[in-house]
Amino acid sequence: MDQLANFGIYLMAITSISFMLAMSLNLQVGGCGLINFGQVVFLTVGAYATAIALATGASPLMAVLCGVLVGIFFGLLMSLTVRNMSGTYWGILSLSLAEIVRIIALNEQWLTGGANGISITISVPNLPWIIAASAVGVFLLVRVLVASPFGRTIRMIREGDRLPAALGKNVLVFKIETMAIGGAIGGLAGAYYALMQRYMSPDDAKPIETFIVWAMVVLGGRGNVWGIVLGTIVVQAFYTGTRFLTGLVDINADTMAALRLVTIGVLITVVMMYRPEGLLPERRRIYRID
Amino acid sequence: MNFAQVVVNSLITASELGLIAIGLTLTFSLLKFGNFAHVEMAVAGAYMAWALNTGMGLSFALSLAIAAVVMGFFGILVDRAIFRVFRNAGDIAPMIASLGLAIAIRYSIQAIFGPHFLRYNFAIAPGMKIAGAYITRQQIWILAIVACAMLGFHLLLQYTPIGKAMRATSTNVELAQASGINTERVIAWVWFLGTAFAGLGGVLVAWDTQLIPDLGFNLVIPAFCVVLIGGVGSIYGAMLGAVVVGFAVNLGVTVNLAPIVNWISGEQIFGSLRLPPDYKPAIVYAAVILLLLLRPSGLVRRELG
Repeated sequence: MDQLANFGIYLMAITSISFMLAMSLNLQVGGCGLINFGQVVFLTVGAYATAIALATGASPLMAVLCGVLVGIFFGLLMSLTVRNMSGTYWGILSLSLAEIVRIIALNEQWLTGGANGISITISVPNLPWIIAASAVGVFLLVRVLVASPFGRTIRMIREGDRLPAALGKNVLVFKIETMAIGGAIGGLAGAYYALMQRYMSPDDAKPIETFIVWAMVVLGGRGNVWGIVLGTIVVQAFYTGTRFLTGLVDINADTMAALRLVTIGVLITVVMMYRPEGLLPERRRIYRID
Repeated sequence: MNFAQVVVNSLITASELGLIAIGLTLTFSLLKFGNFAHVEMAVAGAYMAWALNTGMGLSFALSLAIAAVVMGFFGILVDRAIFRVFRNAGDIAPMIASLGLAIAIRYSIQAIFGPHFLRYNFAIAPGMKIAGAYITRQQIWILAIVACAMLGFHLLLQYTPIGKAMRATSTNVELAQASGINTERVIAWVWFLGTAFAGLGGVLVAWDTQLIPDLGFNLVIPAFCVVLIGGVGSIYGAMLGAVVVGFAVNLGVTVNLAPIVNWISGEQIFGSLRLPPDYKPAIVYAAVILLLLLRPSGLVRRELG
């Protein structure tokens, strides 16, 4: 029974981390129309920054802060490449950038431990609850943000650069701000991921992690915060649930893992074909002058 | 590594990538979206050829031909079943859908064939030395097959009615329709040829190296890089782009960077500075980023389909 409760708490923490990554991606894609195919980069740099900071003797709080700051830095770096690039091109660019970061993490042993990864010896008390509380905090923050004038402006940018530019909005500044906030949330998720696993390796920086987060956002509903809650829970439940299935059905673990990802892929394609707005579509608000 | 060897290796990389990138550049310009599942078609073709070759005991040449043709029809099927839905849905929705398809294909392959690498069944012949460069028999065959495929495609494009229709549609869809060209038929041809060429290219890559489910991942950004260098929609640009990428990745890890760095800084800092071979894939990624930042419309002005 105790074991089950522990597993429940672990699951809550992992789901919260996925949720933060999905919220960050949703802000970029659903909010601002920035097609980020390199979302995993925030998890990567956030986790590595935290692990490296801890290894140099920083306190856990300082280490998490490091993760967030590095996340912001990468968000800014990525936003500088956006300009007025089309969605497809920036998708290719962000995927390339995330891969370069992974290759660096894999090869610079002195910094990241290379393929062996980097371990964390410190254990933080009540960590799962802190993570869950942070996820709630992120949820509230993003909700306030999308309802604010800032949120309205980035949604306008999502529909095209010209109208906001004509209204005197500096499109690039809004994109930079969106990426910085997205990077901060993603970096935070990465920091918690490292603390939770007490380990980070280049294996967790693979592009497939990005696409699992994409599945959550696409399924739940881009631009709807409640949709992201639903999408995260459904995808995470499916992911964890099928892990138990391995014991019941006579399929080896490798095949099962592959089939899980086949389902994720099919899910993304089918949702885009038949319900591109997701399970919980974004509420369209109509503003009238009178 | 001597220079002749770099030339040989670069030409092999270029021919494989060029074959795969042709379909990508054509669908990109005709349907206005980047098809992330395209390179997975190459991997699927490679596995199909493996199944025919080792499973059913067919000769390698026959397996290769059958796999390419079957992949061509698979391309049409994928278009009819999935991408037709997105004809007027902008560029983002089909791109995300293609990403899902790419994941589904890659991991289906892994579920069926397992994650371990596989080899084709063929007699290994000793390689030979040409002008100081070592080249295997397979690699000579690869160059010959790709040269024939490219020449055939060039003739088709320039001298057949369907080739002319493809060039016309790729230049301007509305004008092509107004001239009585059935553009859906042209699109089906493009999927057939593009995916068949991808399948063929996939078999050749796997033949030259090894067959693993992750193969597609190592090809996706290089293929897009080829398309972007050549200019979206330009077949001859893609051929040129493939040569550029082929030389870039092979030269990138052999060139001594020390003189350049020393020249820039004006001091003798390094005696010898080379990029570690592990960074070979990163060269293409960095090239794509630079290319998109500096010349988003490609290096070559596109003139014909």
